[in-house]
Amino acid sequence: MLERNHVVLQGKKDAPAIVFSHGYGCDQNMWRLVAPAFEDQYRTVLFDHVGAGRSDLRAYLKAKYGSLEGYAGDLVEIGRELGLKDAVFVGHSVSAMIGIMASIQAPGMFRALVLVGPSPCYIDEDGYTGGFTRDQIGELLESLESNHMGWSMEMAPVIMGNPERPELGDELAQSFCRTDPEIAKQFARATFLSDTREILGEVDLPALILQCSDDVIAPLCVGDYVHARLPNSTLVVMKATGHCPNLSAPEETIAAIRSFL
Amino acid sequence: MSQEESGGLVEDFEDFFENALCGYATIAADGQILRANSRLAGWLGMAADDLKGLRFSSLLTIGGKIFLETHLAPLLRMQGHFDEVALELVGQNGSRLPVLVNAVERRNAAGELLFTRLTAYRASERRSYERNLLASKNLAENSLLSERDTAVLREQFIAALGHDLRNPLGAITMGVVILANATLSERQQKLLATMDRSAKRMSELIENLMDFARARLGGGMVLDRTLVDLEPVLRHVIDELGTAHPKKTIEVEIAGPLQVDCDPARVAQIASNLVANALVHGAQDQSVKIHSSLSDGYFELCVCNQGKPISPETLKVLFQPFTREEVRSSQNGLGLGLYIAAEVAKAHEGTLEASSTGAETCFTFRMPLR
Repeated sequence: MLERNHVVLQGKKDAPAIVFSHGYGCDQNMWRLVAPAFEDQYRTVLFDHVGAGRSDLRAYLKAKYGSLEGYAGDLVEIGRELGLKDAVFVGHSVSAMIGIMASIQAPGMFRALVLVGPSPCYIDEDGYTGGFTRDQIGELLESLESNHMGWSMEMAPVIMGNPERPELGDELAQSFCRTDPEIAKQFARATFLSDTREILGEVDLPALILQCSDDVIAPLCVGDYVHARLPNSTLVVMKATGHCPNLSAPEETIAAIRSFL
Repeated sequence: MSQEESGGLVEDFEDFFENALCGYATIAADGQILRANSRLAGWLGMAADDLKGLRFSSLLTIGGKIFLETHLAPLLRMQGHFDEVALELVGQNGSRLPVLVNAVERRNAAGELLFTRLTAYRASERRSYERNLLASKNLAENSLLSERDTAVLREQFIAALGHDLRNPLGAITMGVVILANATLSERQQKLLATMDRSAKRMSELIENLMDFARARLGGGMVLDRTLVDLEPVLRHVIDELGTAHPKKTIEVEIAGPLQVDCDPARVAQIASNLVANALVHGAQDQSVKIHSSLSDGYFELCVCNQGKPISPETLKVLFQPFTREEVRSSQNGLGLGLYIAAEVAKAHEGTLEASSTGAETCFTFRMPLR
């Protein structure tokens, strides 16, 4: 199972654990500028969701990973395998919600949650603003469906395993965020059609919401919404823009997590 | 030297930037466009200055925006560049332009991001080519799948049909045998003989169908090999067919004995098929020539006839199932005989080949001696 999710452990062996969970679109590399900063005080746990990065693609089951519960189940399994108790969970994007689900499924596994750019629902609905209309999400899924965007990405796995052509090194580097296009499509569907607003009230763990100031995917109003619904949460609006402060503003991200802990 | 003398304008880098054949943009660390060229702005139906201060992602489709945030921005941070990424720009009037985008980051000595340079190439043609390619690939895959399904179904149908026809035919054959023992008028005896021939003929057709299905489905032809002298086997086949065609002459040249490790019943099947074809299709006033021998570690059986040659087009497909020559209506009905003969040859690691000229049509079966 630790191989299935390509779990990587670093930091102090017997120290409390901090789990970093990546979102849609990339893999555990998303934390490469953040996770090392916690290695002196924590045991850091990094992993790839099944279907991403160096996870075992054979373990990908359409039905299981058709909704976020499948991913949350994996997270709980990893936590149990590692014997996690009172760990810190740091989840980016869709993983923020996956972590919330896991914390409900396995009480005691986590003592605190750090949610980077969380969104419990991406689609605008009855007075709720998720940032996207249903049509827009439909268009996104359709464009993934017809595979217009991932064209060059799709070639990466083909290029991999071509040792006699070292000049392909550049393209190989692009495989940082390589995903099987079929799986990327399914993950996008599971992510952008998810609506987990109802479970927010079930969490009483202390939670830190890291909200970027100009995020297309999780706009300010969504951060406010999560903050209002999570009883024990703190909202920090970062100077960082975009959806990936863990890469674009690692220092600010690290400082915010440190001061919360 | 004046501009006139040099034959044109000195290259103007400002103009080169603004009107390059690709779109350029420089993007600040916070994601806002610092500067874009007129080409890029023109594609969007805007002026270059209007683009300043906008986020690059605001020029993209919703899918592109999300792809940029979730895939491309991380990629840029991690490796400092991305190449040949397919995106769509959305113009002021809602029109869409497919582009291929390359981007590279510029950082200072301390590793801080200064700005990102981005180049976009028009890719409408390429994109529609890709879409067509993808569509035809899907179409081809689908039709191949349905074709395969149909083929398997057809062969299963044939196997089932052949099997189910056997039992009622068995009853008819049995009836003919019992009736033959009774006292019959001459007319009744004639009728019975006709019925007997028809039943045998039908039995052969069914055997052919079963052989075809066996060859196509499952593990192919199964042989019952044994070391045997083929000379009497061949002579028996030839005698039987000769009796059925009393008006034809058959010249037989067999260099026996022919000790061969093979399935004699199957080799007899090949011989019977080839000789019967020659008798039926060959010129009626000419003889059929049969030659068989062992040489160079091979057993060879060659059956030749004279008459109208087989056309080169037909020769090409002669050994495929359900091939019947249009010019000479086959008495074999299904067009399976030669296909099965070739399969039997193959099962013996041998070959069955045909040649046909104005002078002679020959079928040659060759198989290695073990």
